[in-house]
Amino acid sequence: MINLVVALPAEARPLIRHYHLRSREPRGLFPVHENETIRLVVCGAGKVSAAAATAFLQATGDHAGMQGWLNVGVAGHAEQAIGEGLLAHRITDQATGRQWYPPLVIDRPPPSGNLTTLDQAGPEYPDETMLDMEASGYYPIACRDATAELVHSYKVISDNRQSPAGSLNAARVEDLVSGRLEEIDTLITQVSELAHELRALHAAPPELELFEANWRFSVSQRHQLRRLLKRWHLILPGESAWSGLPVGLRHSREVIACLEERIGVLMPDVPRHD
Amino acid sequence: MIDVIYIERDIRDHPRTRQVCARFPAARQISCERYGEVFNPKTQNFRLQKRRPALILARKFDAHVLKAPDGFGIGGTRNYYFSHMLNCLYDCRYCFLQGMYRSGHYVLFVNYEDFEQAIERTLALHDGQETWFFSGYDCDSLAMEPVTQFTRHFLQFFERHPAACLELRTKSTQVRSLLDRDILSNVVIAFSFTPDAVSRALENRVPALDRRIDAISRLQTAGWQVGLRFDPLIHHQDYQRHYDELFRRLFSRLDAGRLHSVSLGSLRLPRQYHKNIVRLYPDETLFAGNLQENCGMYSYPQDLETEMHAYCTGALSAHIPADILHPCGYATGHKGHA
Ligand code: SF4
Repeated sequence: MINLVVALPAEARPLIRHYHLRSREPRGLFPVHENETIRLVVCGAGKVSAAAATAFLQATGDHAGMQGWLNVGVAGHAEQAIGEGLLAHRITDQATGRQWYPPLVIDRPPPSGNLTTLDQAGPEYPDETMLDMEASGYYPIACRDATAELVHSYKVISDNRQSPAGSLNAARVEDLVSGRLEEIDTLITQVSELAHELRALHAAPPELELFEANWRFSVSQRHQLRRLLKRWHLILPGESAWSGLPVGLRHSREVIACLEERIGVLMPDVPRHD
Repeated sequence: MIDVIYIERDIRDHPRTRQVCARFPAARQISCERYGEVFNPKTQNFRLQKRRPALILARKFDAHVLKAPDGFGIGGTRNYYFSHMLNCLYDCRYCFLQGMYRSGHYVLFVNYEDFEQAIERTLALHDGQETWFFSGYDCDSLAMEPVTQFTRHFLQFFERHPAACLELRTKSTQVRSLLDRDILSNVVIAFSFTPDAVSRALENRVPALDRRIDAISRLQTAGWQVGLRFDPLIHHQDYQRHYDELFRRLFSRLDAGRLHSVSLGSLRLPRQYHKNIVRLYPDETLFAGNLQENCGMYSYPQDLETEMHAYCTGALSAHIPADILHPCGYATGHKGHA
């Protein structure tokens, strides 16, 4: 699952169309559009709204493990050409001076640049940074839910010193985002793959359900059981931990103790590469 | 090899920064105030970053030279370590670094001269008596040599300070900077080994065993002092046969009579590092085995550890003189080994 945080309806429309997202009903605090793999929230302008919408998406989404996050929108830049797409490699909150560095671990990331989040848009275009109004609100909140490698902000340049923001309208914004859909799609795929990889690592080990169906485990015992079954199946892949259990185990703690004892005598081998 | 370089603003124009950046003209350069802003944030994933680590160029302000923990050292009584880098080109699954740091990025401290001054001050504390300085604690000493020129630089320094002994810990074959110059009697290049099967399974990106043996052989031929570190000893099925095979391969090529020292080390991981590593690598068989916690440290059960040490000590004694073997080498895994 990947979560998209978008400020304006005009920025959201090309994505909603492209991914055939359906509007979530009933509408909550923020409009959400979703399909089976993507959730998009339209947060409105400003970093406070962006932070709130990100938290809203976290609170109202499923909690099936690690998810990716992408903030998509338009941004100004002093010299970059209009229509260029840039991933943020440094996000600065202008008001507080706080900075974040989204790690670029995906394969062949698109061109990247600095991104400064302003409280209020102004006529100035400082050198060497994109300008927006949302990223510094969104980023730290999204990072509470996901590791930073899965949290990114991607901007399409909408205005620059030559062509200031004054002439922008909704149709133009839609065009600009539409023009970068291919790159956005690649990013979404790559971030989703990383998230999937992490989720798979923490998937339930084989036979967990079988054990849980037969005994009542406390929360901490459930953690122990997960880890024990994981260890068992790493050391003895394909061999059942269940089938060798002695009959008559009545309490969950007896089951845990029995598994611990059986695993304690196993001697792991190093994986073979020959 | 490096796609992204973070550079502290303060050292942007440092000659070493320029030199490193020139090696990677296509890398994205991102400036930061202090390296910790990039390296230390909580929500980072070491495993994901290891796929594509960035290089962070920074200045180290203090603690350039630190006292080595007890049990560290090979006979000397004054032992210190210093780390010009944090993190390693390689990716050994038992390495404590992956449990210690949140980030997999490499940090290179470019102010080598400050490390040198700290070493000089440390030497002065001991009235110029023989003092050991270990490198390869938080990184591999040689692996990034073409980028860092660390050895090339520091050998010149140690040449001027004969009372300062340097141990370079490594699994690398980057020995050109050593072979290109005169040997130094106060420098030991210590190579860490596990059996081939273990290395292939657990020591990702480490050069093949034969290439490393070849590098050692060239160093020995040139007259450099070389040490061997079987550290950490890794328990697995067939471990005895695998260690026998390793020793046979090493000593059929190396001159055992000219080795400086040989030591064995145990796998040790502080509880929190172990927890972090298991969370990062829940699919790793090494941690599925029976490592046990004792006084906040994860290790093999005592009897297993004793058995492995005894076996390897016995097997080694068939190849090397007894006086160069340090059976209980360093307390490792806990802190550094390349
Ligand atoms: S054990 Fe040594 S060589 Fe391996 S990753 Fe750690 S520092 Fe590098």
